Amino acid sequence: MRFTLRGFIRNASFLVACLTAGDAYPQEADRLHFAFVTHGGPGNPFWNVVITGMEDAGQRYGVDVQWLSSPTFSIEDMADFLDDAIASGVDGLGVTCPDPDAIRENIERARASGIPVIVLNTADPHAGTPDALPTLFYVGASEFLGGQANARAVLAAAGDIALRRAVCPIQEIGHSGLEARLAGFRSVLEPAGVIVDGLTISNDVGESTGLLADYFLAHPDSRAIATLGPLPADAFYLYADDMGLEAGAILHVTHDTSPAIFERIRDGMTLQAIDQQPYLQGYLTVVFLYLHRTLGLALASDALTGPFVIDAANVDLVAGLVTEGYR
Amino acid sequence: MRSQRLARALGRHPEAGAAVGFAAVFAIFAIAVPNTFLTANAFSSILTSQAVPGIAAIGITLLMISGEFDLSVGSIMGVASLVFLASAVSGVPVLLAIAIGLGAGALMGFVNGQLLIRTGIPSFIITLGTLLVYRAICLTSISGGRIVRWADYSRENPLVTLPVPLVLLTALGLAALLAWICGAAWREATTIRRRLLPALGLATGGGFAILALVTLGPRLLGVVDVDVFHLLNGRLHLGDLGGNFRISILWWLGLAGVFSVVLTRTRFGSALAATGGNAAAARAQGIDIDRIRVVAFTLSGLLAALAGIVQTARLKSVDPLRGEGLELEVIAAVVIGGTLLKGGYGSVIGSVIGTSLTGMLRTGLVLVGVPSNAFRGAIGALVIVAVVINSLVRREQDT
Repeated sequence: MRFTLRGFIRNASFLVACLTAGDAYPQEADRLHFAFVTHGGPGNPFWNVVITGMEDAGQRYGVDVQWLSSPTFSIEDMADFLDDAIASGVDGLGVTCPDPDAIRENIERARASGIPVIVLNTADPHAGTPDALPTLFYVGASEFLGGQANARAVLAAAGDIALRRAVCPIQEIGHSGLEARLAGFRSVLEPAGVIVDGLTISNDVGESTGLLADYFLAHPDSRAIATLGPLPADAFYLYADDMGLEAGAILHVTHDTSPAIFERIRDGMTLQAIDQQPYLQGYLTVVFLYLHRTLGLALASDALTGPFVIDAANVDLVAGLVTEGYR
Repeated sequence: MRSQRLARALGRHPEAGAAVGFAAVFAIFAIAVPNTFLTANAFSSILTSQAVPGIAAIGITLLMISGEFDLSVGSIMGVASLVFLASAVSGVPVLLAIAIGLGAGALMGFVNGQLLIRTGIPSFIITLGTLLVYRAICLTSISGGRIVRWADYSRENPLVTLPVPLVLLTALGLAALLAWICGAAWREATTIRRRLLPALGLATGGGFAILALVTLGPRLLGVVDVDVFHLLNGRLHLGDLGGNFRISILWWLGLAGVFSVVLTRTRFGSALAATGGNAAAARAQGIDIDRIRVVAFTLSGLLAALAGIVQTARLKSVDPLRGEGLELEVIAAVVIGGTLLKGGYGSVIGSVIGTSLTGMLRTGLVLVGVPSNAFRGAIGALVIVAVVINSLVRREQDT
């Protein structure tokens, strides 16, 4: 038997997961047992919300649930974790699909042994094609629709003022999720006659602030900006404060959440933020697996947990739920 | 004949190639987009965004002249920023928090140096390792997505109440330092024309000292409140000029002046160049090259920490990826500035020009409107052009 560090960590975390699961929900022979195999894990606050949703649903439906992932981020470990889960005879699987070919063999084996699989958070890029993985459906957000929702908010807020130009700074060029947000934003604004400039920035707030200043210097007619994450939003806020911009002088919409974004939605600098409701991704995956396993029910389409729009009307409610770990 | 003489004159200075490259790129943008490029807004954007990497680049210049590399400079900046802000938001007095942050940076640099001299492994590999190790400190103490924010602790910038005599002494000390630097340059200069800049510096220092005496002298027994964040990186209001100029620019240029003098006029400076140029010969001259290397690493860590603290004073927050990628930008700027990758030869002033040049490329390309997918590629291509011009100038010198 080959001993590797990664294998050791994997087995150790599997063991810990079994022990903690067993601790919380005493394992009984007739209880259903679902496992989640994902590329991200409890080292990241985002995934903790998904895990909370999974555990809450497990408790509500009397199901044993188990989270299998590396603590932070690993696509490579997913295949091994899937082997472990299939070997332990789970009754259902929730998986993320950042790289379908890395887990194709395992998913096909799960299907062959009659284990239903639901994709959550990150959709199978081949979904709807002959190359799609044999899974039931997808529970997660649509980044493209999120970009469209932001674009519509910008158009509505512009009102009678002719909006001719907008910018969408992208912090990780080539990242498929961010590109989908940008594509959604474009798809609404360009037919409305608005030029949408792409702008390469980075996750470095200082550098990005400088690039935004350069952009607005070159394009004083640009009156709207869609940031694709919390750090780019911070860069815009720093630029706006440096320039002494009034709320609404440049229409701002963003994806994702942060304390700064909530504050700026309250003071009117930001029109709205797009959230993907990670709690629902964990919770609904358990519910759908349960309904499929017990009654044979399945959705005919994907279940979209986002875009969910956070604006001045609901920001206080949402910010409170973030503190409680539900968002 | 005349052009050869000009080339030779340029070639005497390591920074000459960078200056020519700088002028060329400046001319390109000045012709392409004069209405936006030749404005206070564009200049302030370039200088403000480059001040932070510029401060870190000073340390890397010294280190590269001593023949070593520090790939961990971005991670050191991240950890020092985090240590500084985490201390400040947990109630540590802000000046002490700054000292702790600087100490953390110096310590990480010192560790790099000790690892190098004790193992003999090339610094490229050592600091590739510490790049990851130091980054892990940030990633584990502020796990993904979370950001440490001054705003969660206080809505106001931290104020430090200082007795006037202390502030006055500091101001006079700074003026004396400037006078010392300019005095050294004055003595070195042989023609009236070359004495122009030192004379200007001496006049500025004298004016600054008189201004400090006049404003603070009458209130000698009082106290003043100093806004620390403003002092580190506040906005400079330059009358009608406008633009977003920041105090960080003064830190950057001031430190560059100090370390330029250290490099060219002190025994430590010549020891650095000797260590990087020919270690065996340096050792034969009685230079403790291990000590020189450790000091260079520690200085580099200290300056990276200062860069991080100066930046944090403006952003008022620290995220776990702070400083990531800084090492490549800084090393590129230092190389453009004429410092040799193999050590022994280089210039702090060259690095200032090199750092400004990379900033100018970034701002200029945005102003020209290069498509976002091609943006990084265009920067890379222009960096190569600048280095080619640089080495052509140097080749003239060698022939």
